[in-house]
Amino acid sequence: MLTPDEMGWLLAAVAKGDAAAFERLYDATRARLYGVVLRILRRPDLAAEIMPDAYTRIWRSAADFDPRIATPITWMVAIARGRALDLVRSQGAMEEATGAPDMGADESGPTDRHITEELRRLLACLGELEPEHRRLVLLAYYSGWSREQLAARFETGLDNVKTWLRGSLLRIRECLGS
Amino acid sequence: MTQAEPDDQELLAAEYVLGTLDAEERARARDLIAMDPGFAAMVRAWERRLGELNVLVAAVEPPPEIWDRVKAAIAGRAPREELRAPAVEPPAPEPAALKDSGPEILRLRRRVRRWRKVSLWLFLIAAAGAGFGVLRELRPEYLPPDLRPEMKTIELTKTVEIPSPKPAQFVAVLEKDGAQPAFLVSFDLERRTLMVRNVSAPAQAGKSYQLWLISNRFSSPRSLGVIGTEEYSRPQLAAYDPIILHSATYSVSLEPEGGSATGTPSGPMLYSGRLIQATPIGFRDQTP
Repeated sequence: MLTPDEMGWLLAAVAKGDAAAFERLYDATRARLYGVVLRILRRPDLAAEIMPDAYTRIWRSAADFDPRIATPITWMVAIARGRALDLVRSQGAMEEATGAPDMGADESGPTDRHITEELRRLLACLGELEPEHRRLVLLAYYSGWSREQLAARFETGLDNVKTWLRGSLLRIRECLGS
Repeated sequence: MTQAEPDDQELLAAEYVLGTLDAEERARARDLIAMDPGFAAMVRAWERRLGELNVLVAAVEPPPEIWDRVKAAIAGRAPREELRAPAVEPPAPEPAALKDSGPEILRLRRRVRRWRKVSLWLFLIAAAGAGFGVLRELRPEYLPPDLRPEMKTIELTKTVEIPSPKPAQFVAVLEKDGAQPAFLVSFDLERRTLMVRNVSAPAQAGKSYQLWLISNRFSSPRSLGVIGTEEYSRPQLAAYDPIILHSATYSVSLEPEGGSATGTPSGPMLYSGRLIQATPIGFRDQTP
């Protein structure tokens, strides 16, 4: 994995139309982005559909990347995740795929992955939430579950889910102090 | 007067980033991102807050053919250039809307100002949920003071800056006699799709609104589809050259339910407007 600075330079080159830089950026980020969208979409065919779309957007809007407000990878992940979520929500077709809830290992914590200071703070804040609310937020983020899916999984009403989600998000914001 | 809870927008931004909004709410959030820099900044802040979570996702090597598709998708496209690239040979004199001339800028400035108002409207509508009756009577000068100055003093370059990711770089505000905006059409010219939002046009029993593209290239208006009772319709623009899309007038007529039977407008043309480039030519490049 390249450093954020290296990726920032690549993005700057991409903004000027540098196709070689774009290929390097793709090589450095493809597995991360594919992992994120595959986790949400659960179907390799759909993930393969979203990837070119996401990278086209990255190519076209590289000039918008602002290192003061994002790191290159979070910026790129946000674009790819957004596209995957748009697809999932517009299709409404993921229901059957979510029959078996995937409470995967991702919540159990990182092992050898690079933990940034920002992530450490975020995890500390997540740790302050009720365990159930924390699971709700993480399932929403990682698996892209809708409020309906979360309500079914947590055997509660939509209003509850909405209240829990929003309360949790506001607490996270408060805890991060930003 | 209904006033938006400050946290409503914040929570919309937060849930947009988290991913728990439904399709309709996501579309509304995307509209706001494209039109309201304040909201876009909230989204970016939430992307920053939650974005680090991606580190914990297991990386998965994608199939190699995806790179071929990525390459094909960007082939021949300079980043963000294709819509104003002079390389795209304009076959006819046209299009006035693309000329970077003084009067055009002034017109654009006026339009952008109007367009800002619309985005404030949409913000209030989105936040207030159902307050159409109240909002219809609203005028910008009645807005809460903390919303007003931004609208009046903002620099054009800032006003029109569209934060990423931007689904639409172009919008058309359809209005009647320069009065109240009735429909907002946002264009994704890259994907040749458009989204129509009914901002204030009243529903009429047994009638449908239909969107038309009017261009001097065509002898008659071309239908872009009936605007459903749903907030959005997404007719394809694939048949139209970007040059035509830029220079056309977009109009909405009132038709029998289900749309005009003749293929051309059969009812009154109620609202119309033209495309506004949200990132105006000549400005973007001067931004550091």
